[in-house]
Amino acid sequence: MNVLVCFKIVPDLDRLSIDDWMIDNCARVETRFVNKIINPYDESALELALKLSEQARGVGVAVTLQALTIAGGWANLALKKLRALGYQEAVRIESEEELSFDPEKVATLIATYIHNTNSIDLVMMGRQNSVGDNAKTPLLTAELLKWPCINQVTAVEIDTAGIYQVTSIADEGVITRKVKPPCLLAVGNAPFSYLRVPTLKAIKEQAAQPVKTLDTAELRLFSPFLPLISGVELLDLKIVNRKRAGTIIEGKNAAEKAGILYHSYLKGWLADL
Amino acid sequence: MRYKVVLNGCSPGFSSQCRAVNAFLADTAALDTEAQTIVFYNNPALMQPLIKETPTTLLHLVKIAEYEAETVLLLLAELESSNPAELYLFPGDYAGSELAVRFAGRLGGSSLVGVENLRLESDHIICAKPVYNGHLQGTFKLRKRPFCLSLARSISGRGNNQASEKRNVNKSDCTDEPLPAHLMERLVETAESLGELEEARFVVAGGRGINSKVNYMKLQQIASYLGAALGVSRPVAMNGWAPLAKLIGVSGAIISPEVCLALAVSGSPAFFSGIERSKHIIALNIDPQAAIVKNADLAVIDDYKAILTELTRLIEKDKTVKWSG
Ligand SMILES: Cc1cc2nc3c(=O)[nH]c(=O)nc-3n(C[C@H](O)[C@H](O)[C@H](O)COP(=O)(O)OP(=O)(O)OC[C@H]3O[C@@H](n4cnc5c(N)ncnc54)[C@H](O)[C@@H]3O)c2cc1C
Ligand SMILES: Nc1ncnc2c1ncn2[C@@H]1O[C@H](COP(=O)(O)O)[C@@H](O)[C@H]1O
Repeated sequence: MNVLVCFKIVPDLDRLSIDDWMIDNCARVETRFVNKIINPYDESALELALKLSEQARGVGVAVTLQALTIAGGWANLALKKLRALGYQEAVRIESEEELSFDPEKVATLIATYIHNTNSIDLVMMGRQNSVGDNAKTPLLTAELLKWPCINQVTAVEIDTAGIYQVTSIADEGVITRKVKPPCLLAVGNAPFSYLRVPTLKAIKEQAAQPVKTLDTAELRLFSPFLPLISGVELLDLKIVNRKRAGTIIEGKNAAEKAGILYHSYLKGWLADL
Repeated sequence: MRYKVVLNGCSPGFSSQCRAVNAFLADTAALDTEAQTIVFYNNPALMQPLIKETPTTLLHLVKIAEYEAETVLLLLAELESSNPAELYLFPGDYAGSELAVRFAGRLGGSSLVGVENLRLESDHIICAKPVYNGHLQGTFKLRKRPFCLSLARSISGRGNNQASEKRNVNKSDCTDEPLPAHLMERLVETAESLGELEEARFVVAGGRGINSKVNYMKLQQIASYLGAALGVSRPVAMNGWAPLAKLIGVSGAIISPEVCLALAVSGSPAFFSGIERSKHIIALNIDPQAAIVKNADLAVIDDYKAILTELTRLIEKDKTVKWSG
């Protein structure tokens, strides 16, 4: 079984304070100086795939793991780290383009890669990237490939016959499906899926090995998919103001502050309920 | 502009889907009056009383065996392929936001997820939606028809303007549609506490700063003592301290209580959009710079445990006074 996980590296937006949000003329935010992380949902997808390969080994099924990102050379470090964690292959589709708001283009490239590779039976992605907030790429990739797709996935296992058991969240509750590959999974809020840390020894071993890199133009040449024109264009960005009064209750200790909070505000509010 | 609304009548959230679409339509000018709502449903007994809530008078009820995105997409594409509307509106729940994108993909249209508002122009539409993890709002131009939009989850419900009008109902039975070939088994475990947080009038919301499962359980005791529902931020659920059903935010529950006590959360927009419809927001945080402090009505800068201990003591004292008096 060959599993491909697609991930994007994003700025850690939680680290930007309210005053750090500067929008330029091209409707972009300056994030070059912000710490980069693997998109949170993609981190979960990467960890769930590692768990899957361990679980598969337990039932005697061989699973190979591949990680793929469309990014510039700065993503190589993350790819090497994934190899150190047990990903047999880590591939980068070369692109310095800002693709955060172009899920159609990303989906076309990923679908082309999957089509050309021709041996992948399970694809996992995050459900949404935290810059574009698009929540479209996995769904569009599945549509291009004409593969079934399960969204909001929280866990996946495999049985001896190569059938996947996929747990996901839906509006009506938790759904567990048994599915035959090929299938695409968009990972949502999956508990216990922070990405594990590689050993120093494994990192050193991988550091010298080059990362497999593909050229977008070349990839497109062999694409059975028309260039998908999104028809969606980002015009501008604006900061959302959520400020309320922000009145700070002062007091010399917790008891005094809690007393003011309770007697002057909370008690009355709760009495109205 | 000719539009259709597509709803999931198999979901327990059907009424709130209707309310959100109604609220959105009320704020959107120049849409056709002769619009249609397509509802996929499986239980006629549950569906019948809800029909009056649907956003349009023209209705197409499509009966299916169960809601499986693959099947619904196939049916919807079949239904609409010969004569698609120019605009399709889907609710912002899981099913709606998935369908909007995949349906546009199949019909060669353009889609957007989590749309907050819509303006029609001569040959395109303009929509706004949250981007940068909710820190910013982006304005987008959509050019390819059909336009398929799922609504922002934060759009609050509103009763139907057309509630008293009769519905013009057209029905199809597609219960014979076979399960998709890849699907061998499907088991639904209905969530027990569905809607509990959304309906609560007093909510305590705990964040990563609570630090452990043990503290989450203590918080649960305190919340129930205060008569509050308990919700959490994403890290608390991701660490397995709390069940996922307790998650508040863009990817969890959108709550609108009278009082929300947000403790040990930093107040990132992804979390905050889940609580911003609260009437009163109180933040308990040790960091005066945390976003939640500025975005709350009231804030106490202190250890949440110390404040909660004092609060329960005060309430206890009040109860005792009432008893003896
Ligand atoms: C696409 C996407 C969707 C997301 N959806 C959601 C969502 O639906 N819901 C959600 O919650 N998050 C969501 N997130 C994550 C979100 O961006 C934040 O990472 C998350 O909300 C942070 O949680 P937190 O505030 O609990 O943790 P932190 O940001 O770590 O904040 C912890 C806070 O606790 C305070 N604290 C620590 N100890 C104490 C103490 N003893 N007393 C008082 N205060 C203390 C600290 O000062 C700090 O402010 C999403 C992220 C992405 C990328
Ligand atoms: N540049 C990229 N490279 C690889 N995967 C990506 C890229 N952009 C998005 N994805 C995947 O698509 C998911 C959804 O992204 P989006 O549709 O942009 O919100 C992400 O969580 C990733 O798994």
